[in-house]
Amino acid sequence: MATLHLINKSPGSSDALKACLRVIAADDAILLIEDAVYAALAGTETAGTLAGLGTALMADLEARGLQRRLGEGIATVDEHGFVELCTRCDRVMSWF
Amino acid sequence: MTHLLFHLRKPPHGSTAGEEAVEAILASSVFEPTLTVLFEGDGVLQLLADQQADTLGTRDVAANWTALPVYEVEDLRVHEPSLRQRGLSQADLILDVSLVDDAQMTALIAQADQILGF
Repeated sequence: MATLHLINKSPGSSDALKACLRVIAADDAILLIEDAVYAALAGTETAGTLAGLGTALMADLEARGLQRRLGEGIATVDEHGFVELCTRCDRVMSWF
Repeated sequence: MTHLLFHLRKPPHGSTAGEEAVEAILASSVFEPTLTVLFEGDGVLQLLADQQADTLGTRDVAANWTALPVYEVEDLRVHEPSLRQRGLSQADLILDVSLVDDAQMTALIAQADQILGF
């Protein structure tokens, strides 16, 4: 896996996710943390775009009540999975 | 040799991200000759000409960027779609930069060993 793109702002408050999606490479991954997990809310346009591409941090989903409202095809990780994802990628790009 | 990519996506004045980036870039350039500075999103506004710092009583933040070529940091890229979205062109910028499109930005990311966001 090439680049892990980290997003931490909701799609309503920042264009980071949109900007990231413009330039993402085929083997890259996106991890949603903090308010960016709102992008994974089922039924939203961003959740549709992230199907098969995005991963969300479980603790941030649970804190915001999204654990049962997750868009289809969006994976989840716990903190250990977060670290593992970082180590599997060649580089991490934080769109903060 | 590590290829560093400095990714600027915040506008000037609202935060000190730009000043911090300039300091980090100049410090890094002493150790790593291969570094690229990429201005994307609101980050392109860092380089906008005619910013009048004295009206806010702050330092001239745009002028900080002009130090880069002096210290031989010359690989400066600007995401052209970000510039265009803001109604701007290369003629509006204070520095001589190379414009990149989406595909070229993707390639820049893939070439980097470390990416530092500001």
